[in-house]
Formats: sequence, structure tokens, C-alpha cells
Amino acid sequence: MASSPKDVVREFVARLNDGRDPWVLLSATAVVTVNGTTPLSGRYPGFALIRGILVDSARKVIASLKVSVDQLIGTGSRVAALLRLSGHTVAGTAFNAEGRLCGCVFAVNAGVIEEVILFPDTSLIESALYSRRFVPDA
Amino acid sequence: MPDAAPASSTAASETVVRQFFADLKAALNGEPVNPYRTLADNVEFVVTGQTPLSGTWHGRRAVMEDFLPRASPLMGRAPGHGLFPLEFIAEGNRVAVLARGRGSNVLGMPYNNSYFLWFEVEGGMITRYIEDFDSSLAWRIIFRVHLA
Repeated sequence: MASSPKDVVREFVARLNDGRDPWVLLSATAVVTVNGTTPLSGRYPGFALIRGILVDSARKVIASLKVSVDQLIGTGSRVAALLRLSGHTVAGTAFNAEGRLCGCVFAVNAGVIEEVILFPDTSLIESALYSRRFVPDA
Repeated sequence: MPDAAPASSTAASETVVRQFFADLKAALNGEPVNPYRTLADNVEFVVTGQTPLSGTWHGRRAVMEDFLPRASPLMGRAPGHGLFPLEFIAEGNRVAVLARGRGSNVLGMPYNNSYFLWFEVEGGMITRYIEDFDSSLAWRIIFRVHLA
């Protein structure tokens, strides 16, 4: 069993990538927040909303996702990470092939993650996942 | 990087980053302070996203002479504007900050974003700065575009 908060986060990310169940490392009352104003952005408290809205919505536009940890810091229960999120859309288009970084904060208690605050590239979400374009106001 | 960093190193790095925010606040209040004086000569300065202002600048000179002249004219100025740190997570020479911004575009339209800021500190100076935020919001408000 993972021990330190950083170990828990590393194991969680590993499970996201290799098909093992990541949910065992997430508290049933965990709150996941996706920063921004995109269709995926919002505050999702508890498994029902995380699975039912965030994950289900993401699966409609993301076919595959790879998460890697570039940096991980924190001496207490709160851990900050620089992550690389990349993959393919359901249309088969690669996104973030360049491997740009995004920030994320995790709160870990008693071996499980209680909070995730993700700062994804929101302009990339709009353009790559939802095929939206930024056009000048009239 | 090893997991355990000396507490003194962590505290020193956080102090530098807190000074960065204090300098920024002072400058926005009209005090004669260069808010970028804590950036190292060789800083890597990254603004994430796909906007016209997203990119990587190498060196304080590039930040001062290229990034700022492009960014400053796009922003409004008003009392109460600023970048307000909410939480510091530090270890060794690395510091992450969750922050809220209050600002406006040149037309006065509110531009209030949320930030994840990443700093790396060496020799008392910031050598790496990554600004992660809702770049879609920034693009729409600052550059006056909309999603279609």
C-alpha cells in the first residue's frame, strides 16, 4: 500500500495509465475541480458526480489519455504536481503531443486522495476536444 | 529529485516567491518597484495555453522587452486589481502557488482568473516561472474573441 502523500499520487497516476482501478485511491467523498470555463470544467464532489458527469463527459470526447508526472512536491498532505496530459480524441486526433505541462494539486489523507484541483490547458480543450475556434468579436 | 529537501531550503524558496507577490502588489499600487526584480537573468518564463500571449521566454530581458510590452497594453488598470496568492506548496527549490487574479481588459470588462503558478528558485532568484490558468477565458476577454 502506498504510504506518503506523494507515493499515493504516483500510484494514482500509475493506475490511471495501466488500467488498474484508480478509484481505490480516491476517497468516496473526494472533490475534483477542473479549472476554467470549458465543458469539462467545474467542481465535482463525490463519486457520483465525478463518474457521472466528469468522467462520462470526458469519455465522449477523449478516446485515450496518458498522464505522466514531471514534478511532484509537498511536505505535508497537499501535493503539487506538474503533469503531462496527452492522448487522442474520439475522432482520432492527437492532443498535446508536444507534452506541455499543466498544474495539479492533490490533498491526501490516510492513504487516499480527498481533493484534486486540475489546471488543464483550457484553450486546448476547447479547440482539440470540442473543435471550437476562437474568432474575433463583431 | 529526492523527496526530502532541507526545511531551510524550502523556507528560503518560499520567501523569494512571497517577495515576488509583494513586489507585484506594490507595483500595481503605484510604488516604484520592479515586480520582476526577483526573476533571474536566465529565467525560463512560461505562459501556458494557445493564446497569442502563450509561449516561453528565455531570460529576464526577454520578459521585460518582449513579453511585457505585448501584455501590458492589453490589460486594464484599476484599484483593487492584482494577483492574490491563496496557498503555497513548497519543497526545496520548488514552489507551487494557487492564486486568484482580479483585473480587466482595456475596455474595463472584468477579467478574474484562477492560477496555478510554478516557481523554481536558485541563489535567491526565480529561475523558472510557469503560469497555468484558464487560457480560454484569457483569450476571450483580453483578446476580445468568442468561441464558435
